[in-house]
Amino acid sequence: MPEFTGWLLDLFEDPREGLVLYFIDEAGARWRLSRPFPVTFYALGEDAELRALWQHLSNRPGEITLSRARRMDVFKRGEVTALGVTVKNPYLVRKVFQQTAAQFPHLEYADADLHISLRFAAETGAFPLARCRVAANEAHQLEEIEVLEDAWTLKTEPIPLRVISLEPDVAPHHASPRALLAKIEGETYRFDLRTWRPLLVNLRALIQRHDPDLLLTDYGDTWLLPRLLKESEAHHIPLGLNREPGRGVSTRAERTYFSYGQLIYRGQQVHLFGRCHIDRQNAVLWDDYALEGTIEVTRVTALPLQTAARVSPGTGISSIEMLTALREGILVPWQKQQAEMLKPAADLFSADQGGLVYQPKIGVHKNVAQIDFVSLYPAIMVHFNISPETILPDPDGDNLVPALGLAIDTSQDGLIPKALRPLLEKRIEMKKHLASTPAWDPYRKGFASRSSALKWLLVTCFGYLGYKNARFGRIEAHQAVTAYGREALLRAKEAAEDMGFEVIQLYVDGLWVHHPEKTQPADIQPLLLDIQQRTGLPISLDGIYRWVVFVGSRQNKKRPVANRYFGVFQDGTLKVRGIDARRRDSTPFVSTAQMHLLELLARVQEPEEALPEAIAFLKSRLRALRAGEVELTDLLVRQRLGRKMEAYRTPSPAARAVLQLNSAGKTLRPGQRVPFIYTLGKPGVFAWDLPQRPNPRAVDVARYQRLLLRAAGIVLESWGLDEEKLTERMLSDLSQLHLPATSKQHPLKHRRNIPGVIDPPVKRALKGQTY
Amino acid sequence: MDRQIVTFPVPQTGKISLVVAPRAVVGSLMSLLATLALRGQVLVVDGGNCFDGYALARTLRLHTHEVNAALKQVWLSRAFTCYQMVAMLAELPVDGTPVIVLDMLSTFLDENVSLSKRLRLLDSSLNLLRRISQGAPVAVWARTRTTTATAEDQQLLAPLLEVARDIWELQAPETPTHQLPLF
Repeated sequence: MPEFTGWLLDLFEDPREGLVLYFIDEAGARWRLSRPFPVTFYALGEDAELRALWQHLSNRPGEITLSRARRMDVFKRGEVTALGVTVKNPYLVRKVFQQTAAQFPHLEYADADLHISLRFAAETGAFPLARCRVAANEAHQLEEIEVLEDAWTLKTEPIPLRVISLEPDVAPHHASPRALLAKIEGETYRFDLRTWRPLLVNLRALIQRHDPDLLLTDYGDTWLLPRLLKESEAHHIPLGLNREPGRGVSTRAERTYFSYGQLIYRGQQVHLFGRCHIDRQNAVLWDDYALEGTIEVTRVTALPLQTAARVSPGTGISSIEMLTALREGILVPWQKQQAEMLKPAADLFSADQGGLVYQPKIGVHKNVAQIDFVSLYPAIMVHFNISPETILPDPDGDNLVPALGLAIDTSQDGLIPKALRPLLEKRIEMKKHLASTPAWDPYRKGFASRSSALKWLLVTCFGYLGYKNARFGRIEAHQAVTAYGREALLRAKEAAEDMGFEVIQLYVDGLWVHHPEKTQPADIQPLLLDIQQRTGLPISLDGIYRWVVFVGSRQNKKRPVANRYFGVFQDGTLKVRGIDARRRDSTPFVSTAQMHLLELLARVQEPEEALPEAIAFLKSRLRALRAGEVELTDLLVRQRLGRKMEAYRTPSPAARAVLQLNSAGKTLRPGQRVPFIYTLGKPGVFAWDLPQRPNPRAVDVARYQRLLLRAAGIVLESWGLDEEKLTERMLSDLSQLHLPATSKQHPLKHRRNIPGVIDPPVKRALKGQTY
Repeated sequence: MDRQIVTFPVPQTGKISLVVAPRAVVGSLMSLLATLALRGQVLVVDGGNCFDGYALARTLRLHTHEVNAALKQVWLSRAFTCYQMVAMLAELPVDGTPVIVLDMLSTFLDENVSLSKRLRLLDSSLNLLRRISQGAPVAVWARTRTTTATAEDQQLLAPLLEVARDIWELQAPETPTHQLPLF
């Protein structure tokens, strides 16, 4: 009878055994266990319809059990009567539910489409990657499972995951890969992609020998695994990608969706059974928090590892809420019906607002303290008990929401605060732990990744409260959060001004304050305490800037823009927001140069001292650009395709690059990023993923020059060198710059192609020069 | 159709009035709303989050000094899914108060819900509107999409055209595909 301590790796429905679970034994073995796992969904509605459904389903006694149940409905703020439909085998629940919903479309349904891992976690407490003690019988049926580390444990035992990494030698959308690299335990194997039979045989041997828990791939979802499976079938060499015998892989289609006003593209997905597959190129936020963070998301959301790697933080938050609801016996609606309360249009002006922003004063500010509320919106939801069921349309009630005419029921904890509290507490603990962990600590990186994963979940939990498809979203609750947020920031401002600080900027959850005599962290502590007392919300000092610069908008320099600034803290670290160095669509040539300029300014006590070096640096970059010494990859621009091609009236550069790709037989979906280079002539761009190589001489040097000088101008403007002055200064020295060698083209044609001659200042500077 | 204001006649009890037009019609609809708000209460169901409170306030100011009082006559609720649209219409009071439904089909253009289900929900919504229109004026705006329209747009519009008795169809002016002669 197996008994062991280990980690729950994967679980899924099985047509014969109900639920199959795979475990990693800490002694090294891998276990496949199973157990029956009946699941229940609920139907709600008119008695007559429920009776008809009951009659319809009652003739399947071996398969389905029916019951009359009383369950909590948060939107109706009380218990409701429902028909419970318990399906003996979880493998069949989807089919039974779909048939039922199609036949009885007027009924409402709940707990209908929940992931099996959420149901299992709600019933047993065991979630994917939980460390547990497990007991099974002789037939390898799970009998007992005890969780040894809950999802909120800060320091967890490392999981001895066996990982094989698979990646092509080149990105398949860019060029045809010629080799597949397999990495395991420090060894790298190179397989030739032109000879499939030996590749398949060797790869199968590798998988059999190492029996990995995790296949970590690049382009595994969108290219590699589909290709491997196709060749494996064609050559009759099964690869054994799954651990579970007799199961094919599970694929999910590609999709494009809107998130925070942006089109997001997710490629198709390939999931395995008994082991996990993560495609680093298709995983969400992999660059930000990698495997450690993904494991953290798995644990707190109770979604399987390969699912957690691919879902947005919003879906993660939704899972946490659904798990809390299941544990509390609260119905999880299949389709939320609850709409916004009818309210007078006049009220919309006060209710439908976002965070408070107090525009900064443009320019350089010295000795400025940045104070931030810690996870402000989640903290508000927890502290003020904001949840769909706790919002009451009662302008005369207790606990009124500022300026909204709504009251909060505090008689019992709401569902959302219950779901968020442990997450918020863990994040705060983790932040504290990180602050006290030295940079050399080998665990620091992992902690930072886990902390980042929690941050993303908390960031999205507010948006999800107002998201149309969120199961427990409600627009009034969303509005209440921002109303409390505005009030908290106003109180913080009052506290700062009462203590003699000048408020430089307010931005949703943070404020920038200055006091000529209070320039050390200890001087700010009394203010933090006062704000915490006035608001009841945790607040911390982000740091004190030696100097910080708030820059104006691109369209109008005199117009301040919130969240577009850069500065250097007293310890020398830089903070940069909203400028090229941080933007994902800026070219590396520009963003690294801008960052270098900032580093030069940060290195010296007075930024003015760094100006000569900054100018010399800019000249060297321009010289390199003109001499063709800048790598083409550093000139790449990656823009997102914002809509379908037919929706463009005037195609953007990204759309023009896509048109080039289309003519080469490559297709892109809205939401995908398109890498391209700006080139001379029409169409003005060269799509990087075209089969042919770009001509380095066709690079639109003048355009990159403009981009560089614009980015430099943003940084240096406060010290008297804006874009215009920089352009003049740089180009007056043009004679010293090395121009590309003359070509054999006709002189007139050649003149048109000389980089930099498009700008009038360049023309002026070139006057008199021979070439 | 450009952004100039079109004056729609006030909808009548007993029939559904339908405006089929691009988004630029919002200003005209706010004028209609202002006219109704000056007469009494009016209910607005917004399916496209396109209610323009500032435009409404500006229009009201042309007619009354009591802008806030007039704004309080307009009761608004927004639907973000087709399920919410049906639920909202089912909850509307049937007491003679005029009902304006803004961008009704937006919530039905949701690829997360199967087309058959959306058509069924649209049918339920139209039945509810028909019932409301027996005792109150009802006007519906169906937004036309110029660049992203699909066959589904027409499929969803068809039942709406069937139930409507007064229909105003407004079109955006065609953008010339070539440069017009300057001289």
